[in-house]
Amino acid sequence: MPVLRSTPIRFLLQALLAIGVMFMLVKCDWGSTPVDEQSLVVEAFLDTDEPLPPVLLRQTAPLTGADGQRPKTAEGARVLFTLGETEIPYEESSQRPGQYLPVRDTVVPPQVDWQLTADWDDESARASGQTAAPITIRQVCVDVPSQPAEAIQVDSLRRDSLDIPADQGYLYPIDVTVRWDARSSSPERDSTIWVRAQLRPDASAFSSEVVDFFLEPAAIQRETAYRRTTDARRWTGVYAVPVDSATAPLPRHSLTTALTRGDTAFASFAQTRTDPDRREPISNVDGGLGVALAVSIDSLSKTVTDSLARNEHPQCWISGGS
Amino acid sequence: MVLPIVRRVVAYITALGLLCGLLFPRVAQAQSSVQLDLKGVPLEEALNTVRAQTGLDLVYAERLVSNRTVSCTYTGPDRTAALRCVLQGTGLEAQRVRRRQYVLVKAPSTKKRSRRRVALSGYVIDAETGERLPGAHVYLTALQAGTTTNRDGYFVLSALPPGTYDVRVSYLGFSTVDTTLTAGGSPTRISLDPAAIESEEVLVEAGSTTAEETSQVPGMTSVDLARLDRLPSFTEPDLFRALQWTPGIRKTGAVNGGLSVRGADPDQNLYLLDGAPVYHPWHAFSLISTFQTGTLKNTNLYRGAFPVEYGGRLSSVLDAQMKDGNRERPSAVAGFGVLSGRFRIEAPLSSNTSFMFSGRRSYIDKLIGRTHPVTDQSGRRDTLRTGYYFYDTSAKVGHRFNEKHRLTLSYYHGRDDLDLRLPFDLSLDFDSWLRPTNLFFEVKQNWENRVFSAQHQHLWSEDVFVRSTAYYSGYQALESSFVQPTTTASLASEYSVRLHDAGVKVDVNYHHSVSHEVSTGFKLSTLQFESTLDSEVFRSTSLARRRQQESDLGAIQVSGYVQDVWSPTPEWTVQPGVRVSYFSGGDHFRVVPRLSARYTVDPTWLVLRGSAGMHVQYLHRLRDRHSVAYDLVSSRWVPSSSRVRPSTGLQLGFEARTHPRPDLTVELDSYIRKTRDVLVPSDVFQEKDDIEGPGINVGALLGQYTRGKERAAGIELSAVYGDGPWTARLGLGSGRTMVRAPGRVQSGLRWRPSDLDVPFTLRGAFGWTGSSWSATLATEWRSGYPISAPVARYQVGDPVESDPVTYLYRPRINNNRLAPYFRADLTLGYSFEFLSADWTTTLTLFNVTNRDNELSRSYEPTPAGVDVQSQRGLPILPLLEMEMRI
Repeated sequence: MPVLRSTPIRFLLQALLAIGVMFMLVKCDWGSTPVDEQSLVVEAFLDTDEPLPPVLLRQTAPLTGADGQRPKTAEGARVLFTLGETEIPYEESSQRPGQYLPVRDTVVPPQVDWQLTADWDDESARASGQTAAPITIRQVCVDVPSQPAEAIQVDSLRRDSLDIPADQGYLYPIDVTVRWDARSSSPERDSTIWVRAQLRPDASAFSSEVVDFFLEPAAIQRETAYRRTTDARRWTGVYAVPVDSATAPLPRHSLTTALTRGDTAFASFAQTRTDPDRREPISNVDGGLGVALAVSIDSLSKTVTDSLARNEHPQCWISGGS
Repeated sequence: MVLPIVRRVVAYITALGLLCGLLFPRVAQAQSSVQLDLKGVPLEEALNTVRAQTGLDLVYAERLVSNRTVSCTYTGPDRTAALRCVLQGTGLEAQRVRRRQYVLVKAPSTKKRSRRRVALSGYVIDAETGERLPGAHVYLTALQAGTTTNRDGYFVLSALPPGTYDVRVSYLGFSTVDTTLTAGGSPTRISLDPAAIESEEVLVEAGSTTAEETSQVPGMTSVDLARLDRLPSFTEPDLFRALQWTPGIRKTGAVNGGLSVRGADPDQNLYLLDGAPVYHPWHAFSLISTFQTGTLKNTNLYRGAFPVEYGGRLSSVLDAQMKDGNRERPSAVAGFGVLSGRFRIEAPLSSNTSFMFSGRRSYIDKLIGRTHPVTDQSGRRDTLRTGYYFYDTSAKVGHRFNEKHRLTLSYYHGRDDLDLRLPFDLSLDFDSWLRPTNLFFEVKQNWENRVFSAQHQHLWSEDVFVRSTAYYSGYQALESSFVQPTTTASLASEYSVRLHDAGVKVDVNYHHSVSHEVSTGFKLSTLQFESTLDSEVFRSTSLARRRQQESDLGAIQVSGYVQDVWSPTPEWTVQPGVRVSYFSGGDHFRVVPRLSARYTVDPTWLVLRGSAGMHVQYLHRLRDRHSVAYDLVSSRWVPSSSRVRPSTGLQLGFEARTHPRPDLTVELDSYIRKTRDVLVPSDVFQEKDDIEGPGINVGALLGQYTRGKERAAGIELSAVYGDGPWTARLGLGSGRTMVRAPGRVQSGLRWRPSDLDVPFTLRGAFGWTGSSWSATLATEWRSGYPISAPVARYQVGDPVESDPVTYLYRPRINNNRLAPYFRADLTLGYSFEFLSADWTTTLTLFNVTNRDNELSRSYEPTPAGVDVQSQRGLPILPLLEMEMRI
């Protein structure tokens, strides 16, 4: 019965050989395909009704380098902007290497097609889109509580250790409501329009990641997702100003409320620029890193003082007013 | 992209063809012409001549052929004619059992009776407990034909010529029995004695094999539960932890996490307990499994390829059966470990009825207390909570109405319960905890499995066996939390998941003959998936948002299968089968063929197995990747629908097993797998980093995933050595698992290592067992898990920010690896008698070398470069376990 008993070693060797051949053949096309790693980084932000912006070209830098090597600029590039049917060449700034400026003054009109091309060191980066419709802040209202709230200072919501010390502090959570003019256009186009609302105080931040989870100093949504009242849309966010004690007054600080309107490329970038592990944000540049975006921006800066904490009603400012 | 796939499959088949090449000369030999010229030759000598020239396998009792002489002349190609020539005038005839195999019997008086065939049947029983043993191997040594007992311990070898046969009966962990049985009689009861572990050897010879040895499917493992307790485990004897010594199986985390089989996702494993699926078989945040080894009598694991009887998953099947209970006498076992205590009672209730009842509960909450009343200096009171426990209850009752009808009722219920109310300040200064506080968090989480199964086993006739199963499997989880980080901000959230799976199935086995065993079956099940979310976030006193959502999905699944275990010759066994299934969600209908085969080159030296099969999975386990408020510990399953296609996979497997020494078993496995329509996170970097996620609607969940393909290939080598008190295991695995899926991949659509891709694994265990003492040293070395490491950094600004931000550039996902993982665990055991009971104390030193293993790595850009942080694994831990047997 055991016909091959006399040759078991041979059989085993043949088995091993066959398995080895199989594995080598299977593995041969599994090697990692070379990836075209980019080294040209583009940065350009077109603001509607503003002059054409400078274009910044940088290079990627190694992770570690002698003397803390910083990312370098990309010099000697050829940059061309096309706005509608008009081509506008750029030339490198003599004062700031890597910064490219338009050769002639041109104001960015709303809702026209644009294209950017940057050629540098055998790399060619391109981006395109349509300029944004202007956005106008109508009103900003600030609601300050009468006294600060207790808050915990701890770095993470993770509770997987028995040694996570935390301190207790105080902060003023301040609600801010911003209203802006609603657009009247087709629903199809509205679905591609995004708005980022931001509260940017110049006060120091409360250093607690847990508390940060609950604050909402910014929002990025489709414009149609914001609540609409008659001819305006509004959003309410909250930021915090830390104080030393339960009786401390609200520190005087400046608050800038900013609205940025842009397309899907802008939203993708804005939503991912704070990704975990500092991963690169989503880029709309073909053949390079970075972003070239068309947006419209409006902002309103006001001083917030402790007197607002004594108001029963929110303090509101109208854009252009006092 | 098709070409590389075809090339790989062709390469695989070509390599296997090389192996099969050795077999062809044997076939050619069988086609040669026969020449007989015998005059007055003893019959036995004549039969040997026929055997040598024809390759026929002739089986007979010596007394039948002794003292007989024959004369015969034959020239020609007809082997049966040559055999008839030799038997002419001897009063004997040859009855064909299967291709090229005949049994010689006395020629009957009439032609009609000459064609009578009978069955050899019986039950295999544990002599100590009286329990019937499923999966025992019954082997007719002369015919080189065998079968395994079914779930009721019943075996039958049909269509045998009447007569007596030498039979060898073997079962993992039991002494082998050699006996003689008469075909055609009533079913026989064969009792096997448990083998003493310290004297048991891995003795392999023809016929002395286990279900694992006789399986047609490569990669099948029959878990030796008796030896399991001696392998190091993190807390107590645990089935899943022991399975990790099987090549190709590992946990996704160092201590916790699901089981990954050959690099596949944990949700591709099917866990069955007495025929009912268990959806979340984990306790203590996946630290230990719900499968208590002491309650199980038989556990089979299929890696990669499994018979058509099983379906619904892509990667593996774990089929466990609970003990029926000791039918001979009452017995009790109690054990105490670091985490939990347990007991098991077994007893006969009558001559036909027995039961098993088992319980386990953790007691860490009893040690540290569940509630802690606290008071501060002002007299303010509060109650902090630190409650966590888990428990299992298992019960089974078996009743035998008669030899043909048997009913078993199985019940399992396991639950984890976490209840915390703590301040945020969790410093090691415990005084800071024990005071009332305005800022605190509450977490209530519980999850549970409840399984009920009724199985009726009916011996319809001596060669038809019918098993009917009705089951219910429920899984539910509740996550409730309240977080108050400031006096004006809070999160209150309640999230629940419920899954109900109820079904009936009927399996029929027909033992047509030694050559054919036909199985068919049918299953109907209903699935219900429910989840709810009610959360309210106060970002300040006036800015609040409440979300209430419900998701309720249902589906009906119908499946059926048919397969034949065909043993045309003693060397070959082929198992073709097809499985048909319909899933109402999306009206998906799938027909998947499977084929496996075993070729016994030599029962001792070499047994080869191969398989090719397709598998379908209609359920996907997904988790929200954004919110910290829900989907933290729950398993949420999403059924296929018109939007979600079922995952389908093709797997080819090959296995060679040899026993070069009686105490050594060496097994070489290889596999290649291709799967499509698996759901892959569209952004692998996304982790829970937000209070409010996109919600629990299925659309919001699916939006976080994308459809992808996966492929894997690998080789696994394992060796088991046993010599008296010494045992040694070695497992070496080499394989790759790659995925390709669209998503946020800067470098485009390309194959990349999956998150569970581990190219090399080496495991070893070396043990010694004496009469009182035992010791086992187990080690594991493997490649680190893949990570996405940055290759460069760069700066980009923002339209409204003045300063640019530094980012890390990761053009490829999983382009790097963590440092290799190594761990050694040492287990020392001591057994003694005390107070008329048998005691066993086990001390396990986890990570005995105190190696600082790297579990994860993060990168943070700095002005000068990048800061790399690694999370490290557990240090050396002593763990004590004690068990008492009465």
